[in-house]
Amino acid sequence: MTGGADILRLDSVGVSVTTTGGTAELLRDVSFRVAPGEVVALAGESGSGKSTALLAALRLLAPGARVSGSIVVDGEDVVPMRGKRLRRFRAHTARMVFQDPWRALHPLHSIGRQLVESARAADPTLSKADARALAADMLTRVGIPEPAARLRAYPHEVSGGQLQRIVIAMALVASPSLLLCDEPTTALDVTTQAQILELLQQLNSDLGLSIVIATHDLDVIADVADRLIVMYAGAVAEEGPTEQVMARPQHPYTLSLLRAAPDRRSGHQLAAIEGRPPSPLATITGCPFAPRCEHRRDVCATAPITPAPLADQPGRRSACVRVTAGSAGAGRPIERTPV
Amino acid sequence: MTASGETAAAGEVALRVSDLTKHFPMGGWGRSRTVLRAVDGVSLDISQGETVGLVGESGSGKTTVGRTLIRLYEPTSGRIEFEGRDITRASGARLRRDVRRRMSMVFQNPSTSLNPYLRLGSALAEPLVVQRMGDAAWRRDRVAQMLELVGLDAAMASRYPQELSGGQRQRVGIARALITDPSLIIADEPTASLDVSVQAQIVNLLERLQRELGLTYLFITHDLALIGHISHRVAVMYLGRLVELSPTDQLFAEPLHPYSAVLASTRGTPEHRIIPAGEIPSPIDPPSGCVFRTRCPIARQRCAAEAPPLHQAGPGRFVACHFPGELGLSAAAHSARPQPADITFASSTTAQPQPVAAAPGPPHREKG
Repeated sequence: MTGGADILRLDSVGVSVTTTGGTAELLRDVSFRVAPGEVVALAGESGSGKSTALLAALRLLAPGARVSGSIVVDGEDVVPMRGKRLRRFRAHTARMVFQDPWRALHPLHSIGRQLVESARAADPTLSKADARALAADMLTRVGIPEPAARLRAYPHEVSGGQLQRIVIAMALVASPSLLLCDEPTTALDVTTQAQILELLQQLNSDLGLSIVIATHDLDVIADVADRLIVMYAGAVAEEGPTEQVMARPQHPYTLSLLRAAPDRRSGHQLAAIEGRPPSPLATITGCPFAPRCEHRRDVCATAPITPAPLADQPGRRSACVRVTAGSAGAGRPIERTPV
Repeated sequence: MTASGETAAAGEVALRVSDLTKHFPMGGWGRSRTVLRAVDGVSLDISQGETVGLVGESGSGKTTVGRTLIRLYEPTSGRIEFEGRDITRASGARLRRDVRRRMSMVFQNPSTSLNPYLRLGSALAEPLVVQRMGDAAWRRDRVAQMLELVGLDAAMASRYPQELSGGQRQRVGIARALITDPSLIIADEPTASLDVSVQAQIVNLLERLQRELGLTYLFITHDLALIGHISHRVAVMYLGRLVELSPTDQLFAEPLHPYSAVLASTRGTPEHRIIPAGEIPSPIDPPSGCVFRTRCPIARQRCAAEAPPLHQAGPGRFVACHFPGELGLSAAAHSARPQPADITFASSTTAQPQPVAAAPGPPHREKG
């Protein structure tokens, strides 16, 4: 992992909000880094904190949310940011692509007007004409045919897949250093999904853009992301290179999640995970997944929530004490779980 | 249409759909009158106890097919036979008795398909009231029985929908669908709004209910992995037309229609993925000839001139394409992702399995 040059770095970030039911912990001691030019996936079910982490990085959390720890984007600590600096940061440094492209665009403004606004917010010295040229350029880059005609169109005249490309173009006209995508393909059809992911991958290799994608679908993201961070109950469960995590998960939650997904072999039961994730209002002691975990032992009740590095596998971390307990020692004795 | 009689698997035919068409008027008069062809000439048989998966992109007409079959929509033309009766134009008491009691629907979003102001017991008993089945005491028993059947506590009847999790609400949705003792369930994206781990619970529940009650399912979804898991046969729709109907394994291994090949390839590795050009055309102004030709990698002149009819192309296999099987998958494309390996735990942590419930055990003696 690279040192200080990370494009995004979260250190012990906690996010909590006060509700009528008590204090809800949305993120619990979350740390991770994204290196320049990297594609990182945040995977987890609803309530796992993956979207909260993205919103926190962009300072888009609802007012009243308390953030602890530090979030550094492109060398700047965003937590204390205010006023002009915060506006400039949101307009220029980091951009977000949301799940639903229909809601991300203003229905009464032409696509061109919205792209121009986006470009000039990032670079106020840009003239309207130049911004329009840049917008047309970006539409071509994201694969929109006849960009000039599209600039005059309104969002309702365009299909969902095209609209998501336009939303991505709207982020790109700001030439951000970091692109955050919250479930960018969930609202789209399978064939369109593949097209959008291919586009993100292409932008990453052509422009060296750093991308963080939050998703619930491990299968969709597997081919795109360099690294995978699996989240559960607002905490990081495990982290590592995507292929390694998918092939050899080091946390029982990841394993259960992969096995619960249907595959094409019919006739056998799906491996459902019984129960459901803890409420964000609950006080968690020990491993948050322990109550649903078939591998739990007494040590899990006192396990730390923060993942620890695995000594023998560089770049990988796991929050499962039953995995990390052996990793700390040199010649660790191992035991295989029955298949 | 000629082929549909032979599509039936071994069991008795539960539902026979012939040349079903549903058009929605989009306004205009005389020549400027426009029509949205949501469903265009769909023929399909479903056998008793079978699960047929209906897949397609949004706008392909799959939901309209489901809603027309249960007669939430009036068919424009065609014929629907259910349990040996023609229900195409059934109305009033016949509609209630022959269709609504014996066929029911599980909807996508359990949060919006349950009335937030009704206790679950009342919501569940409503179909019984409409059907005038039993008296109040019998209905209460039936509600309790149904809640237990879907894995919920009978005491849940006095709760409101918002007190439940998404997975529990969908269990209630299933219980409500089953309460009039139907034989056919139309499930329209029943797990699309649920998390993977909860989706697995619901899918397992649907499969268990099918085994126990001998139910027939029409399972509508855009999730190919799920359809591959749950269905015996798959019907693929594109722009209102049925383009292929095949046994599930064969559809994914050797798709006949180019659009099926596209779908089957999306779950493979990216190198082998077939990504079609452009987007699904508008059903108001569909292309001439074959509806898929504007995006088809193997389209030729003939495809623009004549629309290919659905015809038999092998035992149990039907396709609407002039060149079936030509756009195949490479061998590597249908290798599913390997299952993840088991976790190796450190032996120092293997001792003392924790009891499942926090039952008070014998007092623990500590040294020192």
